[in-house]
Amino acid sequence: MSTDLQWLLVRDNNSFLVKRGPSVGRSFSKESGNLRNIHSQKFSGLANTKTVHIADSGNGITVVSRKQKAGPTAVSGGSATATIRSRTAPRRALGITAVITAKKAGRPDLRTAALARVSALLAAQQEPKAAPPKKSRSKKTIAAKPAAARKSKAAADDDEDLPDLV
Amino acid sequence: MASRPTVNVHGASGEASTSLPLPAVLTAPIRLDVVSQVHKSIAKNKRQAYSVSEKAGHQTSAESWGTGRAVARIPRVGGSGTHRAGQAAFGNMCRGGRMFAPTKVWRKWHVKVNQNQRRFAVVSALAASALPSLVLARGHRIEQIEEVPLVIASAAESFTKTKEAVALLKSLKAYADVIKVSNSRKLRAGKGKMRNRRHRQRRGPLIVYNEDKGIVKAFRNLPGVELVNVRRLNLLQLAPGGHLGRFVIWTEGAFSLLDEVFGTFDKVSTHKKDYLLPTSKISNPDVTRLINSDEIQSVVRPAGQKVQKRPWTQKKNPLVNKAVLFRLNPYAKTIRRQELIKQERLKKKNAKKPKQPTAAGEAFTATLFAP
Repeated sequence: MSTDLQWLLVRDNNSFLVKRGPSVGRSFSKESGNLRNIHSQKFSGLANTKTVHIADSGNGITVVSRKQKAGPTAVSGGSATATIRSRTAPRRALGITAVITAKKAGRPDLRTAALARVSALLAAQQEPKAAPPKKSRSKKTIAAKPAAARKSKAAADDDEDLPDLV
Repeated sequence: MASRPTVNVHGASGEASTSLPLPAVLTAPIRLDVVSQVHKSIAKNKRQAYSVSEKAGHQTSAESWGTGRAVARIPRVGGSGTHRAGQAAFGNMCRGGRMFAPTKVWRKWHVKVNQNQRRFAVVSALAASALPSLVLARGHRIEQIEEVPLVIASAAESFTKTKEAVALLKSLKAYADVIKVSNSRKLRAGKGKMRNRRHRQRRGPLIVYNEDKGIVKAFRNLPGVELVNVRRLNLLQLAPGGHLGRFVIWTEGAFSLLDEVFGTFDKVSTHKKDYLLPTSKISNPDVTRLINSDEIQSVVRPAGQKVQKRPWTQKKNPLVNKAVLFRLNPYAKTIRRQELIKQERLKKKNAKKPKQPTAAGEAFTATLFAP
């Protein structure tokens, strides 16, 4: 069964499809192997013989690619998994992903999407930056601050007036 | 096709032992339109007749009052002493009247579907159940199983205990689908709750056997699991809701009997008289493969030069952009330069001469003051 026909069968309705009406503008898809989660033939994880699935597995990112020699009936045995450990640097992680997508899985057209997904996962793993301290708008602090600033400025001026000891 | 694809037979512990050739029925054309239309009709054949009472709305002796009473000429209930007296009756617009076109028990409840269409739909649904992507798209949890179609050894047909059945499904990694069904069990909305349809749940795997030596009793208590004999395959079970791709687990005996039950593309079925499988309209529906085939590539014109619609990045206005102007008109550079030189010369010529001091100098005035 060709993937073109399979796409016609899953296009209108399938269990992974997310339709949110015309206000959203496009349909999304939740199946594994869909790198952009967009419901389209190119990105579909169902209607393609060559697919790449990228997800966070808890201890690193897994890149699951469909084996090119796997038969059409194989399900779990038909895919190869590569794990990018969490201590792998981002540039190396992206390089690994690009090679797996374009060479191993044979989908160079999905390279950008794969890199974008890995980048997003890596960015999500980063510790969020601490928020800067809040600026108080209370009158007390405003009154206290300029006075202190003036005092310190005056002290600096005094220093300048004093002759150099050296 | 170089060699006929084969399917592994999985033993009790999930390991693949022998293999069977793929039956022809699993490569039949898949016609979603046929399946949904046949399913829609077949699903009607289990309905029970219902209707409103024959007498409803007609249990009064109402008669029209005729003209001259300044009320509508609709039948009105006679008499007095009750509120009902003088009220309109019978009509579908009346309170207490009969409905419009009262439903009858002799409605056409069943829909006839041509036998060849029914068979086509079953064959299509079977072919869809052999494609992993369609089974996934129907929502079955088959990510962990080895392959689709999933065939188990015939020893499973003599299972009598559900414990064995669960162990087998777990070793096949197909138990996730049963768990999905179990988790999906919800109270039904509406009156069906009190009509022996209290819960609603998903459908699990369909187990197709050749001979029941206890397999039905072993499996039937698992939520969502259904069993059917390979000779009595049914569209309502193969494509529930008209959605293709039911997860089917075959026993070895049932799988090897498929070619007999449905026949092949050139050998008639032994169970259905003169039945040959429907064939696809085109033998190779793979569009990319067709385009890249030698036959097509040898007759199409060779690809020409790549025509780029806009080789430049962005069109620049030479009246505004100097670099583009000079590229188009090199003399413009000379004009501009001459103009600049001319301006410079004029500037120098018209420049104001420094004012000659008229008063005495500052240094001199300073000497005049007394210290």
